[in-house]
Amino acid sequence: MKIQPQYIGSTRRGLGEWFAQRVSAVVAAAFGLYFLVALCLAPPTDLETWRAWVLGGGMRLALGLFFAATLIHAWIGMRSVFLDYLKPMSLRLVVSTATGLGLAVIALWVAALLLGAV
Amino acid sequence: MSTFRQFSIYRYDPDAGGEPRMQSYRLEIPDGSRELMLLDALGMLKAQDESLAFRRSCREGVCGSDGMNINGRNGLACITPLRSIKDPVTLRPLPGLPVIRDLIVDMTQFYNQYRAVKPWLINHEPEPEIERLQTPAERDQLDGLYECILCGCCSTACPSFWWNPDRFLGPAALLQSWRFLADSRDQATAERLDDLEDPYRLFRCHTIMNCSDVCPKNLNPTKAIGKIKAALMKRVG
Repeated sequence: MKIQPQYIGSTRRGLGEWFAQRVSAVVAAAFGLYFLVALCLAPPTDLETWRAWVLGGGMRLALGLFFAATLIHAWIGMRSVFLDYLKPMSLRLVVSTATGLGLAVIALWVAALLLGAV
Repeated sequence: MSTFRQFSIYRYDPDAGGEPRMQSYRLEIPDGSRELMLLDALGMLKAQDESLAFRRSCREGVCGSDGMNINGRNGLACITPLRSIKDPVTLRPLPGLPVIRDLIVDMTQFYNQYRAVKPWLINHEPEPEIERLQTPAERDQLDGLYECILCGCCSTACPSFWWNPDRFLGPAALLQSWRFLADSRDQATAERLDDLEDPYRLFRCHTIMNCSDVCPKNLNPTKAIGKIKAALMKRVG
């Protein structure tokens, strides 16, 4: 067991991630709440109404922001879990890469949906 | 008439070999005794079994020597009333630190992290003839910080400290870091904040708040850590 603190100087990292995690949480929670309330107050009656609602100009942008915030939040959160628990560097690299790729696929899928390519 | 209390105490002597085990004890407490603290009971148990090892010194919650895990919760034996804890009283060493023997842990790691935050006043001006003065308001900023007795109850209750004891400073050291950042006489704010801006040293804190929950002096390391993060944010913009 290492008993000396590993001090090799500041990386000047940590604050940005911490702040981004909080901002992304606020954005995702605010939109999630709005979406739920809007859905309850005026539920779309059929697929066409639903599509018109979620792909309307403002809503499309808001959904894009929501998914961006959620994906950023997920990435920082998972990275944080890996930093906490995965000690072998190689394992952390593999798991981080797999997570990053998975989130990138979701991001591309969301982008395709919102841009109307699917 | 007497009452009897049951104890289950972690026993381990690495030098003697063998595995750690829990040992049961039964302690007779004569009626009419003054109110006993857990440390008193441990002293009585040691009279029964002198091989039982634990640290203690001031026996009044000032030295921080007798930090241990009491029925699953870290605390100081000397200020824990025996009547406040249920039978069987289960005593284990502070979690996450190497055990030297029984309830005695090796606190080297804890002190290394404490030392790493430079827990002393850094002031580059010539020493004045009298002490460096503070206004009462400036002095008030240190309340809730300077009282830490370094018992280790908070850091050893922190899961982040369990997983990364060599890289995460832990709540006790971070509370001390804020104690000097908050001191109007200290002139090393920028260097201290630089040292903390790292994914591990400060930001492994996930606001679990075990530290504030168990602190026997009722201090709030979580709040101090929040103030450090706020100071870092303020510095950015």
